[in-house]
Amino acid sequence: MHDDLQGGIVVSVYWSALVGGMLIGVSASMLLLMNGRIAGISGILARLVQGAEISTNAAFVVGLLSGPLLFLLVFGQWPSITIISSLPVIAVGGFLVGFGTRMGSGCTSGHGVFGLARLSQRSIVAVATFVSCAIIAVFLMRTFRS
Amino acid sequence: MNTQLLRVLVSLTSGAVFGFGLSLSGMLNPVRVRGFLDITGNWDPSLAFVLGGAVGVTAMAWRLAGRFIGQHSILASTCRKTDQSTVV
Repeated sequence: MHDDLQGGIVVSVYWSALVGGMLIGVSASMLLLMNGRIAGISGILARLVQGAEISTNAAFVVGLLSGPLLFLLVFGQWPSITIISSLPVIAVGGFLVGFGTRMGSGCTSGHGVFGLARLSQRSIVAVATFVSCAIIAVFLMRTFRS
Repeated sequence: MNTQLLRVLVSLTSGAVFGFGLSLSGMLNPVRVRGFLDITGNWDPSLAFVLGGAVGVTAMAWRLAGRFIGQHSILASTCRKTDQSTVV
């Protein structure tokens, strides 16, 4: 938790996290029940790039990108984003994330939200793998940077 | 309205709700995500709340889908959830 967040503010941060997560669940539920599709961001983006179901996949991506703008309209400020890494590190990290999510057949939304919701063994293994590897990566970055 | 247009509108709305939820959750901020992974440092459990909320709601929808809809969703005759080979 951030040092500047104390007491009641911490609680409200957790409420935002929970409600935000539930909205992500509502989004995934809509797509499943109405369109019969899984709200996996990497999969939707990959299918869009490959030219499959362009209209619905593009609509989802446009909606997704409008999310922060809706946040601005509702709360009067942009969602806070703090970038601490250099551009080359971000570029390499982004490439690895993209490569890994394709190789692992899904990302935090597909495996993390949807896979865990339906107790898919493949997704449970994927989530356990990417979370533990990410924890190790963060630990190593901390150790070697400081 | 035809079915295809409805499906596009559902996708657009679903994307917008996802993006707004992600913004509200704080997980657009890489520092917050890293805070969850930084278990030996100043640990930030927020991501667990985000994932818990999302998985909880989606799990209910998954059970609804199985009970009421079977193999078909409302606007599509095919449903990806029944296709085991599908990339999520």
